[in-house]
Amino acid sequence: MKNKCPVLYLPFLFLGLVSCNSPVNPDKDQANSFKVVGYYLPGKDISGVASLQYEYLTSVNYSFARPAADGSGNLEPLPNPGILHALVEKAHAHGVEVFISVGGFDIGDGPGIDRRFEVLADKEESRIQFANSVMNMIREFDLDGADIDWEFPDAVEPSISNFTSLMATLSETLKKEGKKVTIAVESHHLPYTYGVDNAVFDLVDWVNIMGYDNEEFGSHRPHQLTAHAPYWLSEIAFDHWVKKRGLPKEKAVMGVPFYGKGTNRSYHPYRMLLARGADPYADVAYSDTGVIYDKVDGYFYMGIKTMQRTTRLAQRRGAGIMIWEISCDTTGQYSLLKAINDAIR
Amino acid sequence: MKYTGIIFASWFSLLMMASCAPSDRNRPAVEPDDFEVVGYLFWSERTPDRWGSMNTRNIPYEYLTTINYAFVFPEADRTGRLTSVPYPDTLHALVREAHSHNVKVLISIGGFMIGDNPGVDNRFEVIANNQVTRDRFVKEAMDLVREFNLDGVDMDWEFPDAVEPSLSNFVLLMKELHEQLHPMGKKLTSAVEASDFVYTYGVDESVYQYVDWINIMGYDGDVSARGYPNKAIFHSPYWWSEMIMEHWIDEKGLPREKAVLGVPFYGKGTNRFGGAYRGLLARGADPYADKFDSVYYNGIKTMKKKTVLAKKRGRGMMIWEISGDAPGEYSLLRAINEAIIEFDKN
Repeated sequence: MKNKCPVLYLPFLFLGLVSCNSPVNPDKDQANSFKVVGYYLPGKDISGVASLQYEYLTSVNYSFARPAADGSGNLEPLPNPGILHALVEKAHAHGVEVFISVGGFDIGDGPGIDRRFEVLADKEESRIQFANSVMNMIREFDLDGADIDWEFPDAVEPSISNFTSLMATLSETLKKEGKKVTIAVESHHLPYTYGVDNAVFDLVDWVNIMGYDNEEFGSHRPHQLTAHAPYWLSEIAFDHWVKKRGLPKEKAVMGVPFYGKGTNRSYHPYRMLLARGADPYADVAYSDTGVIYDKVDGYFYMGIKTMQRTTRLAQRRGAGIMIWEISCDTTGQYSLLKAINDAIR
Repeated sequence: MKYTGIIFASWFSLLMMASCAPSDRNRPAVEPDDFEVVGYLFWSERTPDRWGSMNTRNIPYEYLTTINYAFVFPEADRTGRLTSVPYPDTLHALVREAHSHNVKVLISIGGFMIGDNPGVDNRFEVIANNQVTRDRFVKEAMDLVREFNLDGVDMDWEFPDAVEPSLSNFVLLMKELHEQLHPMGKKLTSAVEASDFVYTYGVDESVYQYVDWINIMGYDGDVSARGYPNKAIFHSPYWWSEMIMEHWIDEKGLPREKAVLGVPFYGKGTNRFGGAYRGLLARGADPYADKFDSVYYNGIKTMKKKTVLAKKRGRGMMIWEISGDAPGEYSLLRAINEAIIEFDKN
């Protein structure tokens, strides 16, 4: 997959990243290269594809393809395939891999309802069909792999074993073609993480750990602001997946948010928060920015300072950073992708 | 220090042998004789009544090593000024008595109620966010230490948020207090939440280097233990103290010689104050049990077990708050003392 394009190294040279030992190594086959994996939620047309900061990324996960409602293992057709074609062209020109991410929190039946996955994973026939459908999509769009974002296999049988079988079939199918397989998992909360058996670790190239939305799962305090992605969540998540569960460090990619959440759990892209006066170095913005700390209403996000700290943690304890999601970033000095890249160096 | 009880404290005579002055900060970090018994003292109009004829002379100093006098607050104007000391004559008298028993006296700044609504810490947040107000805060604290001949400062900000800028601001504030206090041979400590990640992670690991020890508030588990969902926590059970020490030492990297385990001298019903230990005994509670009616507390048996835990895993015991103790044979301070002596013998 590498060296596909002669301009592969140009962005990195432009950044002054000339050392072969640099953590962001443009050679994607380097086992020790630090990954910067950005999920990308396409807009209405291809215009968004042009403005992505490919020079700071190693992979883009195109989000999402959905399993068909009938549980047959087929995938629904992508709503706007032209965007993915354009993305692949751009990304490959920059030496950046593109994955199709299959799943997400809402796969058509309501938030968090994963019945489609449960059904298709339950039979060998549909598991094979699923693997073939994913491989067909990879071929059609010239992709580099697939990311499975089943939220979440249940931590009971047969769901646990079905997920392992599904990943085994998919992995076998894709590896034959030289393609990569990754998954997205919950940060540390029981029981969600235990739907992923340790046997899956061997079947994937890496695991994207969703180090955000913490308040949805655990220590939410009513009537109080609760950070959804504090620094400590990344520490706890590494403790859980690497130290406790035994996920190899080289496969642990820590997820960070490029969005903030309001008191009412509303979703706000980082660049929109900055436009409204949020401090790019803080992790919290209050509704009344005139007098901080007097308002209970506000937004939690991850600013540059914590972003860089989390990146350095991921360097020590893992293999990369994952982002949900990259169109929320701003450009220029307050870009979070730039902050990650600066921290890596 | 969430619930206001009433109080007093002092120095444990066995411990005095190794240390000649209360403010001797150059002692090696983990000498066995360094075991701290830290008692918060919340003085109010009712304190002398609660203690019968007791005044500062009657505090059982022999069972304590440090008294934290609670509280002064940051002023509402958020300039960094502090409110005036409650009962200043009492504090002067306390310091004289305590020092004559080689017991340290620290001023505790903060608490759960600092003048706004319960748990609303905006004063701290604003003061810590600015160099000018931080400087003023540190200066006022140092003025207090000098005026009352205190042995140091206990910071009881409940709670710095586990996000920026609060996270870094607390580190800065503690660093600046450390830079003033420690060259004078004074102590700096901090009271922290027991186990709820949202709050414990507001204390960055870089704070540890600036403090002599940390008082871990191992009580009010009924309201503060949401870091461990799906578990009912009965105010302050022994097993929770084990989890707390694991959390702070193993997960958060607090050096064991700086880990002081907090215990309650009061009871809790779920989310409500259940009365002081002495009051519970007066109503018929068993001093060796942990539950009376629907109120959970720590009796002598559990208190001794926790003391052994603190001896094994930490630097000391902290109490909120000492005027809640019962006199005589059922005294919890005495139980702690006995457990320490017993432990040191073995």
